[in-house]
Amino acid sequence: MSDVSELYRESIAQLEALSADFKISDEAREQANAQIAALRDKAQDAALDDLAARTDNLNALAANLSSVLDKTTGGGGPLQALVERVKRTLGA
Amino acid sequence: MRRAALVLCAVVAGALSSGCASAPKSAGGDFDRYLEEFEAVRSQGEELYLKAGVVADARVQVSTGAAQAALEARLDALRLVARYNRLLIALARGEDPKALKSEMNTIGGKLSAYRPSAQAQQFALASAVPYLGALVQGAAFVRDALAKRRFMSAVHEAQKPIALILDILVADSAPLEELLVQDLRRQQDPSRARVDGVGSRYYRKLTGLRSDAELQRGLERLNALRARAGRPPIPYEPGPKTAAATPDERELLQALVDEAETAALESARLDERVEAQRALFSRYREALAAAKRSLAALNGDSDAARDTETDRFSAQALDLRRQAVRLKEGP
Repeated sequence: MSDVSELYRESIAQLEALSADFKISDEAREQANAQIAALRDKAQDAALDDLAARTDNLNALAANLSSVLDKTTGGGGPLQALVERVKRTLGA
Repeated sequence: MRRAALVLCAVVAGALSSGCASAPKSAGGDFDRYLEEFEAVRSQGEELYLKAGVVADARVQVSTGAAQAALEARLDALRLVARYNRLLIALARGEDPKALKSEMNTIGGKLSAYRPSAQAQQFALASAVPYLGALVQGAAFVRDALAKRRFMSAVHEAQKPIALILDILVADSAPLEELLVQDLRRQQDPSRARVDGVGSRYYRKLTGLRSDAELQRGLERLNALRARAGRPPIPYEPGPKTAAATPDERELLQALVDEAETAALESARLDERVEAQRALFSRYREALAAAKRSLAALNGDSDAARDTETDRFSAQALDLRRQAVRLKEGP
């Protein structure tokens, strides 16, 4: 995971510790918990970005593998694949 | 070496579509085992990505096409690898690869949206990320394999992109884990915050009261609950003007402890779910790594290595399934 994700986790941990402080006001605790919720959103966004960053590579590898399999079985090819896709789209 | 020869015979049988009809039995056993275990891993991986998709949908403001496309790409990759495995099985059994045409067309169809120009662009984009070297290597071998028109080479070489795809799935597992764990933590936040709020109210009320055995017992119980939720203990700090607690005040303090108990139990339940989720991801990573080793060993010529890796993969896959069941059943 990226440094920014680690930063989010650390910040959330600090805010949780603040929330656990029984001497702070209820308002301060509410604010801390609101920030925790916002940071969880950001941490999840960062995780999705992390996944998305590898998608092009994954798709390219998958396309390579698909080509190998296609040639191996001696069939298909882009045209056949297109026909199949149109069939599926039309529910045929 | 006898089994290695049988594997080779089986594979060649597939290539030539002739002979060696009985030979693949031994090799087929290995492949069947591998396939069965891989299906378990694939199924678990799909479930994790599907869950992540639900979480991404919940994040309305960021549920972009890119995020959903990223998750869909993973599902497609897992299914593609599963289909490749089926092809290996068929080849090991000496089946005619042409007979697999219709199934393989489905794979082609799934990725038919790719055009050469688009792929070239993707390869160019890949130069900005660490997988470039591996990717270029993958592209190069595909050309070689196709030029030689030796489909066995292609089958063997296809393991390279598969291994790289598995590497990507392993790399994905950390952000995927983060995505799902943060979701569980979000579910836990209300009960955790309630433990904190109740503790604060208890502390403020207790500070104005004179200590006695009953109050001490109540405080000890509250602190035990807080400790279970990972919260620091509340000390008894009487003020200068302390008074004995009235029956109403004692009742209120008791009610606060009860409320803390309910919240702490809920918080602890979600802690256990987080741990189960983390354990599942740990097993998932191990199973992917084992799948990679097992796949490589299947086409090696060492019976011992093949048996060891397949056994290891089976153990990892079984462990993964156990963890998945544990997470589903939940505390």
